[in-house]
Amino acid sequence: MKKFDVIIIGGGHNGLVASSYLAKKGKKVLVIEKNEHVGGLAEYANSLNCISPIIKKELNINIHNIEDTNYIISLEDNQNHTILENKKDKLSFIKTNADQSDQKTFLSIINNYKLFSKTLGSFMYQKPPRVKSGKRSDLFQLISMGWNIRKLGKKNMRELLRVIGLNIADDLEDNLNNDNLKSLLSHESVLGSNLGPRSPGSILTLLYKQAINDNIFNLKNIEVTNYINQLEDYCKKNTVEIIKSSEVKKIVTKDNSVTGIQLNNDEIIESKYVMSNADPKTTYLNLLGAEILDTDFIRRIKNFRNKGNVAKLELVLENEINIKNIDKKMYGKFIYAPSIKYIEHAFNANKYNQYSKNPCLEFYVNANTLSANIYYVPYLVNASHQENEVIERCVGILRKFIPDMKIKKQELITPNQMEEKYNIAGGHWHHGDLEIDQLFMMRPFYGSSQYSTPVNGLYLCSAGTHPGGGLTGINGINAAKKLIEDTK
Amino acid sequence: MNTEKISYKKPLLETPFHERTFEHCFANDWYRWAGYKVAKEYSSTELEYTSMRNTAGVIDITPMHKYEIKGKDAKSFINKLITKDITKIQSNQVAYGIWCNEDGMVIDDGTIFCLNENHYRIFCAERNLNWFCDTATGFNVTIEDISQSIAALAFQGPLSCKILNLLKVENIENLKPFHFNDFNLEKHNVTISRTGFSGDLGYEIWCDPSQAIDVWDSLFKFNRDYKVLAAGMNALEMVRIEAGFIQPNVDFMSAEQALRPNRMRNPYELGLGWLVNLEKEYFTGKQALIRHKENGPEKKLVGLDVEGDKPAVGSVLYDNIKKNQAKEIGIVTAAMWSPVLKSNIAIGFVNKEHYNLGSNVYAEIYHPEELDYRKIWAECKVVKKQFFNNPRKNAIPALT
Amino acid sequence: MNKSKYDVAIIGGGHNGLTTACYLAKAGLKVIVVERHDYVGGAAVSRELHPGWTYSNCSYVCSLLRPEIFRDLELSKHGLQIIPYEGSASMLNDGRFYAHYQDHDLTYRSIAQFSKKDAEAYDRFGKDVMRQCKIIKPLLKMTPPDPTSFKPKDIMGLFEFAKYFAAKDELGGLGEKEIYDTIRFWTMSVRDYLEEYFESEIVKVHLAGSAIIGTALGPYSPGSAYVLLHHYMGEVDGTVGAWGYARGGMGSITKAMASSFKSKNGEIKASSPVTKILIKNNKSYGLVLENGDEIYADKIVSNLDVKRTFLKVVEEKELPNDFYKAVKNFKIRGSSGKLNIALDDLPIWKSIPEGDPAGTGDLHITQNIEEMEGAYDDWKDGKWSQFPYVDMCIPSINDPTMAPQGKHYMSVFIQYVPYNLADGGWTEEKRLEFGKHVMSRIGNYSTNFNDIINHAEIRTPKELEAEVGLTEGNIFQGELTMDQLMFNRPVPGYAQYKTPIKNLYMCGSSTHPGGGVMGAPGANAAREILKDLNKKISTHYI
Repeated sequence: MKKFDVIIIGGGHNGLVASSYLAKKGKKVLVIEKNEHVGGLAEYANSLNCISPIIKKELNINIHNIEDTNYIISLEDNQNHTILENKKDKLSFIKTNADQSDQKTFLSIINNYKLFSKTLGSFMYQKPPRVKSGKRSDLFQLISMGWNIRKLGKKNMRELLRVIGLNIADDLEDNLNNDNLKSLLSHESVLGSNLGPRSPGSILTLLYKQAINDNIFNLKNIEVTNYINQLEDYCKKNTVEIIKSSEVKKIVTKDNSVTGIQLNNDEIIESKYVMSNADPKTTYLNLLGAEILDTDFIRRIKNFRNKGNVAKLELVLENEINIKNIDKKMYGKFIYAPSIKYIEHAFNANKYNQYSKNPCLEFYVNANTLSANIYYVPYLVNASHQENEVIERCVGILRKFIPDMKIKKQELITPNQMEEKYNIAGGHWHHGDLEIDQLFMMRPFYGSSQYSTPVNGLYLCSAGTHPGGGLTGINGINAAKKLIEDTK
Repeated sequence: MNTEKISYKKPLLETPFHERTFEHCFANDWYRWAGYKVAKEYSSTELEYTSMRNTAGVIDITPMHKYEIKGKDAKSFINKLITKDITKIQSNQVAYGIWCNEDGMVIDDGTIFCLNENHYRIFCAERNLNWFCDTATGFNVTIEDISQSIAALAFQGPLSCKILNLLKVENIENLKPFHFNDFNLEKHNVTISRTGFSGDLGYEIWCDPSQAIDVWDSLFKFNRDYKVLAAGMNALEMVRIEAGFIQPNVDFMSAEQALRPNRMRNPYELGLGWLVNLEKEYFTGKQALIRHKENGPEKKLVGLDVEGDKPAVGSVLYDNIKKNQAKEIGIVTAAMWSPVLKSNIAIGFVNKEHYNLGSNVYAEIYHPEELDYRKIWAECKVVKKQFFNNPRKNAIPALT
Repeated sequence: MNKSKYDVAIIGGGHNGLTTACYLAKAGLKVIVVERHDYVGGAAVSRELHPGWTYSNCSYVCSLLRPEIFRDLELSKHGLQIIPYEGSASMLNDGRFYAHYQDHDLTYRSIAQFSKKDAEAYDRFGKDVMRQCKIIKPLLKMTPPDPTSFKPKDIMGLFEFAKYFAAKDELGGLGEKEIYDTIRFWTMSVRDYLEEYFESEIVKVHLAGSAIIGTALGPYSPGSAYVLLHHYMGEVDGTVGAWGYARGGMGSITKAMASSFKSKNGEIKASSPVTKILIKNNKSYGLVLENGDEIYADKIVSNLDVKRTFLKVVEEKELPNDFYKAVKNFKIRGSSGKLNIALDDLPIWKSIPEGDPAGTGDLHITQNIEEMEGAYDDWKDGKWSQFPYVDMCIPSINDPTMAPQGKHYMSVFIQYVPYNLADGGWTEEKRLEFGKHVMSRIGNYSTNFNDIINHAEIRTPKELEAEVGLTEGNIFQGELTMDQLMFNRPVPGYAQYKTPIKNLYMCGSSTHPGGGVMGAPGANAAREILKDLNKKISTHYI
């Protein structure tokens, strides 16, 4: 029987990044993927803008920045849309009903947030330090984090420490008048989170996303499949073995140490190291089993909030898509979230485990296909949504802008289906809410937050670890580095 | 859902024995135990204590928390919960165990009754329903709080077996320590275990609340010849100190309840290291306990033989008595004058430099003498906690 | 024109203004408190607004008042007494009630009626909250260090702060886990926090009430758990988290403070609204009253909220732009209403029997957290809640001074009520309709309530603002959210009771540690002023 140094559960992009890195460091790696193809949730992404430069460098990933110009269109019921152009990282207005001063303020808010994100960004690539571990290296890292914030200067530091706990609606309402601009930024901060624009912490999620994406509006139009293929190629070249269509049933342990994994067909593959790209809840409660975890730890696993609330609708139309009032060459990211109030109302439903009757949308079109993220469509425990109604509501909105829509094929993926398809408990994009108590050294929770786990030889590399979701690959590389460090 | 009607006028529950305990409690001195009203002193603590050392005493222990664990994973659940290996316990056996949190700090102790490998009962001093249920995640077991559906009496003392024998409880003398079985006690079929906290021969009787009064009356049936007394909490406290049993939230803070993290204690500090089986594959707190064992305890709960006859209640312990040089090295958690040993005994925490058997430490005792407190320095010798341990406790057949 | 000269002039005789005044007078300074009304007290007042009845017409219960201040100001000698609560209850629609009592065992059994697990978890919850209260207690007395500053005192302050958490014995040796718990408590929503302990809705909603009182957050909003803590960190006679009534209504507190102040030769000038703070060369030197009189003082202290101070009585031209903008953006939202009701008899509740101590503390009728959050959703839309959260109590059961014999006074605090209604602002008609709705909601839980109402005073945030002067009627003088706590309160860079104007200080609840009848902002401000004057006093607090 073959022996592997490390077995990686799940061929999602973080799993692939981790395997690539481990292989590069000379480890014999086996990846086990449940689906027929690798990539996991990456295929869910419409664009790729956040691969960490570290990954590109370390793994020789070659991604062409085909076109640096992209457009963000915020749709309005009165067809008076706002169009933003992002050209070489520079954002400008093509069309808007906002006045000059609002436009200027909007751009300066984004620049300000960018500055804060950059500061946070310096923490994103590192393994988060532990508070009061008694270790010098942790203390040093904490101090250097503090120093980084201080380097912002008095005024900016004060502003950062204020907005970190603020809600996005307040900050925008304090500074902007135009509803469309306010909702545009609110949309970016709440999409994929369990927050509304008025929930404290919604600025932090925006900063966080920006920190891992360099720029929220910079949508490099890169083929996700291309990236995944390159990762897969890199793995193969470096003797990583990938088994597809095969599901891990259990992580096998003895005396609190990993000894291997057991597949669904009961085959056991031995290894002293296992890295799980599955979300923390699935890893601990299903794959490892609560029976060998301390009770306090189980309490923390259960308290991890991981209910997703974004559904995805894929439409294929009979004809090519024409969006009213917009020049075809400006097609890009379309957003339908007309006002803060509208988003907040959509969020209200989510709180009571109902889908939003008037949902918010973000969509992309390509010839005759349309792919939309719909929120809020919450994950339901022991229940399911009226899917046709969700689709109807969404299509109803789309019709306002694409009046001649004839649908050939439609597919809705709710968080519940996402859970099943990708094995992500709760069907959450980020495997767990991005709120302060589940970020940095507290992600996913105490005792599990530096990629290692209470079980020797078991590591986490999924979006459930620092720095969370998004196709950054940082989780994968940090986890791999931690494993290497521990095996030295 | 609990349909029990509550009223602010009666904050405390009465045990199924209340009719009798109320009759016996001439002193009308009551104690709160887990929401129940139990006698602190019936008439004279000293006589109640003496009955347990001389004949037999009856203590209403109904307020103990009782949990029923059922299901095909019952055994593995218990093995995850407690620090010792339960697989060695057979049906009709009782195990004494402790359970710890992830940091290896003791939450509570209790006796675990094995009815069969799919059915256990746990009796303990603190409420543990949440801890047990959270621990049961991933196990196929049901956990039920059955505290109110079992009435319990402790029947402790050298004549306890004899009296049960006179009551025609068949073969009771051959019941081994830490074993239990169902017996006919006059009209009723009850469960009797050879367990207790007096350090002497003794039994605990578990029955349906409807049988409680009959069971009580049976035990007092031969009272004319063999004087049995109802014993209160004060007397119980005395025998448990003599026997060296520790009590959560008296001798140490339960890890689930300690407000200050540094008040939590690990088994090695409590002298309960013998209850920890690090060979066992898995249980909550194992990793931390491996570290605790390696490091050795910083302080330890020990027995103290205190000079003089003034109980060292609440005393601070010092390494010497030289003025301005005495260093605090521990604290007394329980202390008493032992009538049976005729010595002044105490249980207390003593730090690393002084916890070895035979060490000398000094207790600062504030003793009231006609409204004036007198400060006494008493030399104490570190001894085993088990001050009283009569061989008849474990004799088979039991003394009749 | 009348001119007089003082060491210190304090604008506003609320409990914090009076606290500052007392400490400064104690240090031998010549202090004047200038008050708009003909009575002092601000939001801690007892007023006879209906003949024979005394209303605690704004704040209504007491817990947060720091015991050291009570002692330093000798409030007992000046007539103040606190009566502890006997219990509290939530009434259910099905005719049952959920109650907490002074008796721990009784409370356990009461909760166990709904869930045994929750009854047990309540102890663990209590312990964890208590630990957080212990952590926060010394912070209340602290002038928040400025994390952006390089001044030795700020660096030392931060160092002290870090040392406090790092210390082995302080707080019983907090570990990493406990520090994360603190971060969690300060940032989570109260609903998420309670879900970690409890399964029963009524338990959760009963406890969540403390997290939404006075705040423009819902129980699902991150940061609401902190507000719960804010309401728990008080104490009555050493029982942390306990609440009580001030005998004679909340005005007794400020009456005692005023009396203590006068005994130290302090001067109170009532019926004297301040229209302007006199400033020259960026230094304040006096006040102008409505009647044109001027009062001169070396130090001016404002007990008004930060918005009222800098947008109403200081001219914009005197302030740096950034500061002015920050003050304008300060979040101070009206979200609470109040009913003061004179009752001809004691209400008979459908669920709580007469004489049950649970009926003498705070009473609630919200059934679950979703209903509570729904009330918040209404507020967000500019409507008063259809199913409002009410915090009712009848202090006259325990306090014989508040109503005529046989009759009673009921205080009803209501969350949420917006300052501005979306459908065109408050009118007299809408105010009455709102009051009627709340009373009918309460009436559903009683057999006689509707028939025994003798008089009701209905207060929306508008009335609170008009009477007490709190901007938008916010009871905390500013939201208690992360962006406005500690070194961010009221405005980053000005969290040390000082302002951009020299000799002008703030002492109201807009400053750290925030709202509630606590007195800590007032005492902290006094400490800073005395430091600047190089004066020392020896008290329990300072």
